[in-house]
Amino acid sequence: MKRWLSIFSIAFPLAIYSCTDYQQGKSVYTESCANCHGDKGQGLASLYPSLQKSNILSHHPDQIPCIILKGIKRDSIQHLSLEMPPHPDIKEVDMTNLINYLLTLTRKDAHVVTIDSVTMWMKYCK
Amino acid sequence: MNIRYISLVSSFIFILLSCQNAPQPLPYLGVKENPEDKPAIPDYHFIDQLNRPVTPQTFKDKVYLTDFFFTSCPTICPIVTGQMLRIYEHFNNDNRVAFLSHSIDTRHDSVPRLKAYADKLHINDDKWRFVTGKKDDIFSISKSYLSIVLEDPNTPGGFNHSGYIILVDKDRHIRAFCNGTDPKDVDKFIPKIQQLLDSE
Repeated sequence: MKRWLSIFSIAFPLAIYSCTDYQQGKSVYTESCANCHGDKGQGLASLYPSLQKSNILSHHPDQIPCIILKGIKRDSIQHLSLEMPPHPDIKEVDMTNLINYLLTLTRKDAHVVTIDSVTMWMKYCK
Repeated sequence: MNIRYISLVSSFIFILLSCQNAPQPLPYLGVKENPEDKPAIPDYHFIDQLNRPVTPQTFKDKVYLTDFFFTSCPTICPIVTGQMLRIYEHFNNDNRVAFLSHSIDTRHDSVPRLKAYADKLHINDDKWRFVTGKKDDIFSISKSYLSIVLEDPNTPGGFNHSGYIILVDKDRHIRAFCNGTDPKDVDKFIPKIQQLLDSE
């Protein structure tokens, strides 16, 4: 009986955790990002970049808040695909949840960013 | 006697099933004064991503899929363009099918900008035309395609428009349309394109 209880006490929180994994970040993503980047971050040809293969997401998560807050402005016709509207009103909690969800698009064992780091990155961006 | 009877009955069932499975002919859609009317898309003259004129003659002997979009649209256009691309890839090798996307942001969507947009979709410029023209002409023809296009400064991107993908036959009649923001609706739409091709 004790054995079952201990298995249950480990498995149940794990199951809950995996079911609710970054759901808040996914919700922000669905509302603000999925129209262009696709429901799974797959992108569209070369027009809207795939987030699943994003070098910035994989190696420079500290740059993400600034890209989301300020967007990417078009500097020439050839850079059309880099045009992205700004999302200046997104707050620290939503930004942290969103980045953690985005990181799962690139790899399942992605590391987690903390709200302290994200707040600092957002402050530097401003 | 029994064998004759069984074969008669089975033939009857086969004919009945065949009739049930035969798809209904595609209707002629549009604003009609009489039920038997077949409204046709009026004449138009636009410019495509390679600065070439696009008129009804461009789609002579072809069926075409058409939509309304603009390159900086942050809302439904990316989804509709993604579904147009899906249909394009499905009929990529069929020369009887063409594509026509009208930009509704005629102020910003210049010819080079449409070319850059088309290039990033990796499409054949002869098969899929992205066009611009006089704003009034594009807004006006949207009504003939049963679509809504409105300028609205309160909407993200500045335009309010429907996300329909419209199927036009070689005689300029609208024969079907789907909601381009709904992949499941597009799933049901693709067989209708094939049905039109088979019937023409």
